[in-house]
Amino acid sequence: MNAWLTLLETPADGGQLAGLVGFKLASCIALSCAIFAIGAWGVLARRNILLMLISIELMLNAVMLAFVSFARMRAGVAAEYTAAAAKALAEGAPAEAIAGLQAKSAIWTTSGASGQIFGLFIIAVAAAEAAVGLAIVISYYRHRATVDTRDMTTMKF
Amino acid sequence: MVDIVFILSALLCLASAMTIVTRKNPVYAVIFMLPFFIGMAILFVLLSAPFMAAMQMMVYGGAILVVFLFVIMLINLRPEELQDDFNFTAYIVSALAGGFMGGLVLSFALKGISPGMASAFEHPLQAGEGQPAFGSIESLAQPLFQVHLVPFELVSILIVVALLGAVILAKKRV
Amino acid sequence: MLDQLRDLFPGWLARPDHYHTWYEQMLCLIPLLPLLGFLINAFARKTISRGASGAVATLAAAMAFGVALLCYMACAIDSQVATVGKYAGMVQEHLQSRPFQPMHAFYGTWLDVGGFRANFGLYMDELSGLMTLVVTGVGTLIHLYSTGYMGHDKSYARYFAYLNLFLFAMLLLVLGDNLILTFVGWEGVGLCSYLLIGFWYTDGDKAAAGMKAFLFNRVGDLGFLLGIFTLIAVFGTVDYVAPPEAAQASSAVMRVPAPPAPKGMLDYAANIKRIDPNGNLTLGQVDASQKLDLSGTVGKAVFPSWSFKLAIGLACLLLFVGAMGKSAQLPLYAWLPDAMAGPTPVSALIHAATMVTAGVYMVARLHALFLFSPHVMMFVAFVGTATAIFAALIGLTQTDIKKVLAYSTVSQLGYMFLAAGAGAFSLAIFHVVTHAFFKALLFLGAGSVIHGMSDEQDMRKMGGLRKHMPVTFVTMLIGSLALAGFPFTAGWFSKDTILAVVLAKSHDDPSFGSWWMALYGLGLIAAFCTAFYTFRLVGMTFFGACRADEKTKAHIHESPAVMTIPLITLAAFALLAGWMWHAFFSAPHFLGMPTPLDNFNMNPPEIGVEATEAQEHWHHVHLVNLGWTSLAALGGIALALVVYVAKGFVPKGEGGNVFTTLSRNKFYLEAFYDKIVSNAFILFAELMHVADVLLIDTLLVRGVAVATRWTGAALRSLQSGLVNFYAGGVLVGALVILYLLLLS
Repeated sequence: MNAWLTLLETPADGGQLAGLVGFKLASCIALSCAIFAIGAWGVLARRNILLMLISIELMLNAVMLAFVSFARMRAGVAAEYTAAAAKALAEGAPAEAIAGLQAKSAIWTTSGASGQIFGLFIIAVAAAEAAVGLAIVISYYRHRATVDTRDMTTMKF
Repeated sequence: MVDIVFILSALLCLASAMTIVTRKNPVYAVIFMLPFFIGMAILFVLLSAPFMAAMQMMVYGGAILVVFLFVIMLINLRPEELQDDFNFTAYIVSALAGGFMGGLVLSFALKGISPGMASAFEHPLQAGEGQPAFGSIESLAQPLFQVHLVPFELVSILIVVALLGAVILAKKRV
Repeated sequence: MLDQLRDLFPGWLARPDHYHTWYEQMLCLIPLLPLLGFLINAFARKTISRGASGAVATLAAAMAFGVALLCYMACAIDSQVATVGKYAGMVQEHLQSRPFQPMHAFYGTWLDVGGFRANFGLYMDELSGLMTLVVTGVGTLIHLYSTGYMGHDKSYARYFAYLNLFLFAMLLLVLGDNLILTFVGWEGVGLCSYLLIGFWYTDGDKAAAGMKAFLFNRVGDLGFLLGIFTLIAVFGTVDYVAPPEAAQASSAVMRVPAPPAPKGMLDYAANIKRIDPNGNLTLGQVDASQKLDLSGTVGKAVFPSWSFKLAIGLACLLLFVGAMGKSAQLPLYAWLPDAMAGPTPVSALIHAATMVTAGVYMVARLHALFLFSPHVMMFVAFVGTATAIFAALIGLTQTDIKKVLAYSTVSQLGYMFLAAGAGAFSLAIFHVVTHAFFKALLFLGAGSVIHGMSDEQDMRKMGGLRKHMPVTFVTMLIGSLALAGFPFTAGWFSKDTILAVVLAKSHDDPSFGSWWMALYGLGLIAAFCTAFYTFRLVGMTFFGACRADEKTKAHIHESPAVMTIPLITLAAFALLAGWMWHAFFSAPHFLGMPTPLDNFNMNPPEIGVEATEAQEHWHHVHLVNLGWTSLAALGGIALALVVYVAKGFVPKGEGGNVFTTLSRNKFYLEAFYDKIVSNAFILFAELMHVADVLLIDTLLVRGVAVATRWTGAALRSLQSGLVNFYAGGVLVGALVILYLLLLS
């Protein structure tokens, strides 16, 4: 997989499109928000309960994207600290300074990894949610022969 | 190169997401989930999360999507039942709400992030000697089984419970 | 003997405190023994035999009397120890002037709320000790009498359970070391009174009489309660005296900043020297006309004299309203004659000897406060005199033997309040004690008569009983002499001295002088009436021909020994108890209160010292009064003997002149209560009913319901049942929370 990354790696002065939008943190978060909004929109507007569940999956994916983006940011910070530590070592800085930089790098790496792990948890929870939700849909359909939320108002006063 | 791939996959995600939420027939919506998940997986790879990308494809593309399809097949909606009119008031309200919330989340999320940190997003990752690359299985395994061990076990219990619950709910006679 | 004891146990007698603690722990047995008797009789009444039931109750009372006697003796002996110690220079100054060392036992904290604190504590000083002895002593005799009198009743154990419960409550009232505990006993005796008046509850009239007593007492108890609240507001405490060191220590543990050393309300008593003729009081160190510095005594700020006196006066007035209810004073007297519906021993114990004197006891207990407000004292004296003359006049024409005694009790209670109002608190208590003996004797004798007459209570159907019931006749004669104030009987000592003090007041009190003269005159007339109706009772009951029907006549018999022994004992006390009068005058501050003579700025005469001019004056007044009271008593007795013995007059119970009609109908006061007060109350209640329907029911109750329904109908549209709409609500809520977080 790391080989893919090296394939995709380009110089900072990349193509024109990259100059316009840029593969930046802000654009990742904006994309995440857009997908989240589309999902929320689906949940609110659609009357088909299956489509509502699908929209919820969209929202969950948007959140995962945000998590992974911030994880990448933290990994970047960790890499900067690693580079600084290497530079300091090369310049013959005191051992304590180098150790401090390396410790900071380790902290940021771990927190970055935690972001991805939260994404994994979201996948697991989403799977559980989909299983239970769809089971409820089946059960409900068997009793009422409908998947339209406008017909699911028996709990209304 | 990375930027072009990012833009293309972002467009793919947005387009398929829009398609998903606007389809009248849920079968089409589920079919369009596949390009959406693929686009997301590509984004994950770009964000140095190859393991996440793999999980995305396996769990979402492989499992959840198929479960949705199965349910649609089980329910077997007739075309005349699919009278999903689009509530335009709700459209407008939710679009506004979503946009507003997007802005809020954006500003809220970036509030504690300095420009230096934001630019670190683009810093190339180089794994140190003897250390696993960021986002690799090895790098995730250590925190997962050390720091997040208890949540991890709880998630496993959750999945078991959900599985049993789904079976009991969906059974014809309990 | 004391010397030998001291030689044997030098450690004890050299340190009075140590010696005291033994008895302090025993003090709680006095109320608890009757409580135990009550529990046994209440919960085992189905299983224990009649004999055991009576024995348990009587033993409980007798043991309480024994313990009370021991504790009282310990206090008295202790004071001698203190005197012994005085020569060794080991005793504080105040013990010299108080030949009785009070006991104060602390058993725990009951309430500790905010700055307010009430303890479980018992306090035995001269006053409460004497009352305890009277209550338990007379109570024991009446328990014994009851085992005979109630012998045929089917609810034997229930009767003794109530009687023991009454003793417990009464002892709590007397021994409690704070007003709240006293109030518990106060309500407890009220409850027992209600239960025992309505003891034969299947009779509707008797049950109603019990209820009447309870309702009249409610009116008074409201005043009492408000008085307690006022005192709490003024003093911040309800303790009579400072709690013992144990209680102070436990409070120091509870609170981080140590509270100021607590003092009781009556710690003022130590500071009051006298009241000058203008009604100003002079404290030990402070000039009362300027400011009363109470910071040292109650931890409160400095009061201007007038506002403090006003607050205390209000509290005393309210407390006296409570005493009016409990001690059957005008206008709340009407329940006591009806209370005769209860068994006769109950009338003797509760409605003559003990409970009804609780009001007098309370006034004496708080005498230090009453001394602050001369106008309230005057009011007390007025009410007492009015009650005395009013009840005595009614008593003249009653034909029911117990009713005569009931009105006599009301009248005598009036004398007690007259004494208290005149500042002679110890005399009021003296009269309580003598009255307890002779009135209990008279009631028990009346019970014996009723018992022998097959439950006949109408004196017109009696007569000539002295031949059939000699013991009852002789003892009742002694009681009647005491009640009438025949010289050298107990009643003579107490009543005569009360009137002497009133007469002396009329000379010495410049602000109310002529009023006191009027009160004295009324008191004399009441004394005359008392003598008359007492011997009217004796004459109609024991002399002349027997007017009973044949069946009853054949059945007349003297009562058994369990009933005559208490009669004889009480008769002995009724004859001799008056001779302790000397103790009420010679000892300085007997009962822990100023003596009557203190009112006249006079120290009690000391042996071997020339009498001062004031003392000479007092002796003169006393002699003049002696003539008048003896005349009243002997005149009343003689007139009654002429009319009812020599002429054998029997009232018809109807007709007669204006005065007898008025007297027989109780001056129409109860009719007034029935017609005017009740109807006014019913009218008020109906007015309130209308207000209730309009305001509460329509506006508030239904209004709330209607408002709720409308609001619900309006908000119901939000509950569309559409899950999408609810999800929108969640989203909007999340947005609001996010927005607020972002703002912060």
